[in-house]
Amino acid sequence: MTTYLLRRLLYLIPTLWGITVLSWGLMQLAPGGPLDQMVALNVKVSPEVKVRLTRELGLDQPWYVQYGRWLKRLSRLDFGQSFKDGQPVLRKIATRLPATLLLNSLAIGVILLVAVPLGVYAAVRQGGWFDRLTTIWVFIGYSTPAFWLALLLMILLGLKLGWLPISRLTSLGFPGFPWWGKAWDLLRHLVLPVFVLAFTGLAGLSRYTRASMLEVIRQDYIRTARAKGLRESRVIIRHALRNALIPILTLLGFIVPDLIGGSVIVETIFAYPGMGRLSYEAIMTRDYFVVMGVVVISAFLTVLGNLLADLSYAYADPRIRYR
Amino acid sequence: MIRLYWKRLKQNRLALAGLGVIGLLALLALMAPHLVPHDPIHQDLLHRLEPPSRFHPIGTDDLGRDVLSRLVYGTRISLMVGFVAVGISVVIGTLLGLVAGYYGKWVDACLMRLVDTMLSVPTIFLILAVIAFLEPNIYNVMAVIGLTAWPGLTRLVRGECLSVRERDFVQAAKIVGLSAPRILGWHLLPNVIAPILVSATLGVGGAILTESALSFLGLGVQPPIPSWGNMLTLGRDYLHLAWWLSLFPGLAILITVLAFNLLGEGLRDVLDPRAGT
Amino acid sequence: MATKGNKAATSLGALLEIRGLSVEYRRHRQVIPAVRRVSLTIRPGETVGVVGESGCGKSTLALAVLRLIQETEGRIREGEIVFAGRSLLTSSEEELRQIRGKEISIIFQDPFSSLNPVLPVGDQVEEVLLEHTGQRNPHRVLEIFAKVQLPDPQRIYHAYPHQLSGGQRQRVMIAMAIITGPQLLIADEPTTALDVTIQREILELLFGLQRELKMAILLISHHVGIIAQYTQRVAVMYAGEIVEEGETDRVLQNPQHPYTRGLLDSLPRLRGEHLRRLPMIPGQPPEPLHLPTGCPFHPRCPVAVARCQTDPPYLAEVQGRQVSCWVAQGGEVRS
Repeated sequence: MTTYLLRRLLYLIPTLWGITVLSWGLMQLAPGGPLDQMVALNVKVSPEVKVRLTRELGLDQPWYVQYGRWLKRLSRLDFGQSFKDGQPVLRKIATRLPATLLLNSLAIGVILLVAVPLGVYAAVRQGGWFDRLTTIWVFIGYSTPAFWLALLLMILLGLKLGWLPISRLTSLGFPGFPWWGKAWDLLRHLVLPVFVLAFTGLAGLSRYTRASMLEVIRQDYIRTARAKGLRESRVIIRHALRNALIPILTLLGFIVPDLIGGSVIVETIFAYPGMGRLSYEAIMTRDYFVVMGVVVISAFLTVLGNLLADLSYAYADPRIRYR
Repeated sequence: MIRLYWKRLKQNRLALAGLGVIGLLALLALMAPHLVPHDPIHQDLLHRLEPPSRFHPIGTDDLGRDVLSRLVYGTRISLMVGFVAVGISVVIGTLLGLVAGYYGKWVDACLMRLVDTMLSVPTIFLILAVIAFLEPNIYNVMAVIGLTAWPGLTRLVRGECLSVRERDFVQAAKIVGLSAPRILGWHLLPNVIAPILVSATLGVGGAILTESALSFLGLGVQPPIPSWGNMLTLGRDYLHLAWWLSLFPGLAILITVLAFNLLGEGLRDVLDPRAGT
Repeated sequence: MATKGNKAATSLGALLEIRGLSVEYRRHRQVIPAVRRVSLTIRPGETVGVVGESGCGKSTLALAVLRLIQETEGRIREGEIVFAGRSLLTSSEEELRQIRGKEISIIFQDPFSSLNPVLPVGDQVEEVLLEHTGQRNPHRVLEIFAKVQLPDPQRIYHAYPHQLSGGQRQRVMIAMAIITGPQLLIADEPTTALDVTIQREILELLFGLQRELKMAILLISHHVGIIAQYTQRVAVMYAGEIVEEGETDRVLQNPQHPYTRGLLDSLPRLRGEHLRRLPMIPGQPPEPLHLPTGCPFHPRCPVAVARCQTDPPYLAEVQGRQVSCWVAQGGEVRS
């Protein structure tokens, strides 16, 4: 277990370093570099100011010096300031991150709670009508553009039926609501974004659960469990599902980047005040220290998600835990 | 060999349906000017936001343009983006995968850390960041999708390569003294073509989805060029007035992506007898 | 436990009686016959062996007795299995469950894959008790662990399968099988996956326990030596059928079916001064999908006559045992 952990942590180093190189390289892509982008937004900047700024920002230095300085600031979590309002990027992201984390953890919860039972049931009744139905649904789920699904649900549930609010996280009178009113209001606002965000992941995970279950059900130890005279429910849940879930934990690590990426679109459509919407706004206004901040932080979050998935994998599998 | 695969593919009804739909779409894209009832960018301000009628089977948009005609022209954009982007990622992914799998050791280690890095940054952020700094247009979109979609394929090709590399015929080729590009091209590539084909087919669907999302956000194909994604932007703007602007372009995306996914999964079953149940 | 539907009569004194059992597998829409019209009787406390090459259907026979062949894989096509007065083929799933692991237990070939890798082995053994008696009883598990001569039962109780050796795992499998005191134990190649040195220990343990618990054992093996040493009666299987069946001593010392002789001859053994390594039976066992006409063994048979190619033989008594061979029945086989 310890060696496994150490190795896993060692692998993180090149990945994290790679993320910084990638992000920094992206920044250099901008035609004319960051300054031109800044100046382009602010016509009042005179040529003299531009020269002064160039020196202040260190843009007259060779690239490795610039990268070094950027890295140093990054290590202090200094992502620079927003061009738009001069706020530190980190603070801007910090105010938006909780909403995104809420959205994503709810989505993961929904995915697990729905996809795993679906996949298990489809596998147990392999080839039956339920299995076929799930397979078709999985293909459709894979192929549906999330933003379109969002539009349709907004039209149907939001506008035509008026059951659910279609934007933001809270209603106008929110601060005055009692606590249960607040909770109810939040819940109603979260239904559509969470559902849309979870939709694609649902299809993927239920398909994977099914495959994993089918693989496990063939194993000798399942035959042993049946030969012991165990109830079928016990065979499936205690013996098969436990084994089938282990590889699914690693898959969760892969779902994390998809979810975080998906929240850009979902948050934008539902005007949801999270990091995804922040990045969209920043891109539209070329507020690009903010863009870079979001890229780096979302990458770190993904790495963290992967790490957690791997750790729980190692913990769940006694063959790794006790070695 | 090919005939055997075709025979097996013919038994997979879903995959065959996917292939049929793709063929139909390709035809639609090629013949678009001869098929559509109206000029897709012709504005008719007297007939704005008209619901489906005999004259405009799926209605008109905010500038009185015929939605059906725009939809048919959108096929061109989607297919082009899908194929070009996947073309780019297949070339990069295959090359890097072959190199990593053949040379192994530190070359492999470096490339795999690069893949890890690429996979840990959510692709959409990479794409958005690049598009933010460049002009959003169809060429940049194709390039960016292609340039960010290769890591998965690299991993796949490398894995196949590692397993093929140890087989006798590759070892023999090495001993005989064939050059590395020769071994890679003649001996390794043919063995990894099946998984590449499957992944590429599925990739086209993915690229079409990504393009439509970008265009929807206003960061992809720009109006007045009709793309399914930017048509849906209008749908959002007129959510409460014109449901047909939202429904049909999305349906087009769904059907197209579904067709590629069905074909891709079908190919997987046909080409790889180990997989599937 | 027997209900109206599944009461059935066994021949006098039989614990398990298999009559005319046929099992087939389905793969890629093809039906593959695995066991064909097999009949076999086991009396209480008796040890019966089933011997044959791999793929002859002997493991399928074992699974079929406990109805462990999954619907998705295959089915029992015809026949009857009667255990202690109950027909297993007409029993409900619930009735079967009460029999499995309690009255009939089974030990599989590969102890590496037969234990669940994510559960402690003590748990897996205790589960049998929990299911059949409704209560946990760790002391009983520790007792049984000691009985199957596992060292340090306390430690083993909490261990996971990957932490045990192959021999230890098979002891755990045996513990799991005998903890409920079954009347019949099916041992499907119980030592094939183990080191030669451990094979004997496990077999001695198994048959020591048999004497103590007075259970019947159905021993399935490809190893004629093991069958010869431990069983009282033996059935020789070939291509899904029983080709010779009778008292072990009689069958193995004076085989009547040419296949049985082939099996015996292929054993290396000392004869006189020098080790004689005799040739294996030439050819391959037939594909179940393309069984030869007539006697399934005739293409490999050294003594086949014209009739063997056309008429399927049936079991008939020859020299005090059942043999399914035209030549043997015609009295032409030398002894």
